Amino acid sequence: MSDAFPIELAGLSKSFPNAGRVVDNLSLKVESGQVFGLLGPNGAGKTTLLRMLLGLVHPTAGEARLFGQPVRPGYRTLRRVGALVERPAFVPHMSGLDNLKLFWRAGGQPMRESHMDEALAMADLGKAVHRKVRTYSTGMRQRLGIAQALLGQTDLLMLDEPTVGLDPEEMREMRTTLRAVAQRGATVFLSSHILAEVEQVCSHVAVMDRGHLITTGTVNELVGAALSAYLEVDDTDKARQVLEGLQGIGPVQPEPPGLTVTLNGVARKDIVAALVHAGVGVETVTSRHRLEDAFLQMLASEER
Amino acid sequence: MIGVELRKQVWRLRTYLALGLMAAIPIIITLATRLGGPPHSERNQTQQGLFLLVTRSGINLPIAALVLMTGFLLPVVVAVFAGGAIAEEANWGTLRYLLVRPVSRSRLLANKLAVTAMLAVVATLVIVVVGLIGGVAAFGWHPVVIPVANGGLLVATLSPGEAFGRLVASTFYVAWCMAGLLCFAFMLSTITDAALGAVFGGIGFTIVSGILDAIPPLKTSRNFLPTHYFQSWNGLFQQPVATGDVWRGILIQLPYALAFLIFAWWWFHRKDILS
Repeated sequence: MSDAFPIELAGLSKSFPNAGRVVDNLSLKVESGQVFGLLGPNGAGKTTLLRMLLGLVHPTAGEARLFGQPVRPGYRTLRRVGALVERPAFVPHMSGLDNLKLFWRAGGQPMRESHMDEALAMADLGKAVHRKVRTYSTGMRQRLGIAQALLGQTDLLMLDEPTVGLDPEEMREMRTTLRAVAQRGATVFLSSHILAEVEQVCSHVAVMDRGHLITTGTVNELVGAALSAYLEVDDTDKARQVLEGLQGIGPVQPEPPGLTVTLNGVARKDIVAALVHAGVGVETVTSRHRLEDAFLQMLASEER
Repeated sequence: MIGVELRKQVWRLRTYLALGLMAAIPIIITLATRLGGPPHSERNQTQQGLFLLVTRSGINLPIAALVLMTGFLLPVVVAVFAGGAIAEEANWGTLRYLLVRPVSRSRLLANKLAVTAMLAVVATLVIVVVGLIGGVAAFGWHPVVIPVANGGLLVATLSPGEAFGRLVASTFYVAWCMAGLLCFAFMLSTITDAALGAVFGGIGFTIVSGILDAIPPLKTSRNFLPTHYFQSWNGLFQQPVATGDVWRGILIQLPYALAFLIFAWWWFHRKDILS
């Protein structure tokens, strides 16, 4: 069992009567210990995919497996999974603590198998944990929802847009938590439409749009595939001339106060060398947009 | 895991209100009869008789309360419990979090149904228990006068113990009579995400059946209506005891309850949980 993939999809598809193919022929493997980001714009089919992985939605075709076991509603392998599906949701007339307890006991597992103290520390609700959930703010609900997903310290954690409603400080904590989860050998599968989030947190990423898988790989690979760099130089006009004269380089566009260069595979250091050689002072070079570039390019090429 | 559902459903305002309503009616009957005395002129002969008898023995009070509540108010409360069972969780968004746990959908349905049925039985018990306590406190533990079937004005008496036994039987009979509409509202609850819709569906079910039952030209087909035998437990309080309609009343709930439950089960298993 240990060598089975935490998540494995084979030709997974889902059609809805009124919405058509929401997920189209997805095949994907997520390996143990990865922090895997599912990136795509709203409506890409991320949530439907997540729901299929959890047995909430029945696939139209294909198969999903968790730890080698084909997904079925409510099956035993779900013991190894913690999940946040869309927004967190709680019984409004009960306290946060009671909600966590009920959630756990609803799985037929005794309380001593839960990690309540760690989960409560993550939720960081203080005394409010005894208040009715209906009095909670969005951020509090989000933290409680993530705590609920962490309650079992499961081998696989599935989180749908986990940082929605969190402030920057909470987002930072969230990232730390996810890294800790990955470090104890668990796998994290999270969906997001925010590139920066995926870039900062994930080791691997799959890009999805309108039900299709557009690309998948490590974040580093995909960032490496980004083709543009942003430069600030002391003489913009001259720099532009130099860059446009270089072999293999794509369009150069002014982006005050600097320039954006489409690299087409040319290394940044070669560009800098060329500029310096031509007597242009380079103040800043950054890989602009990085995954965002990759993301937008993939979506654009998909449209063509 | 039934404990989980009980914890969720019992300690909440809705349940307090529903059960409070069940208790309020017998309390009002007690107070009104005690303070105002028996009614003088009523259009409805049976109901007048009912309240006349209340002052004779406290045990008549829960009987009167049960007659009043069985037709409509109890079905409404049962529809509220059953209609909310699944749809409310869908509405809260908690249904998906119940189903990402390693628990089969059958198990979840069974737990929900068990708790709903328990609440329905408790609601019926509250009417009778409160009525009995109030009745006996106000009018005492005396023999109960019952009519003799086809005997005109002839009456017979039941010892308090005997009357109590028949009251207990009647209570569970009435609770069981809620099975058809409970399962109907429960079925709707698996289909819709709007709890109120399922509740009104259950109430509508009772009303429609009641209206059809009031159309004499429908003749014997009315015997197959789920509400037709709602008051047949009255047969236990006459001489000689008439149990034929009681048994028919028990049996008639079975096909309704089963059909609705089977559909609910089938639907819930193939359902995509999108709430």
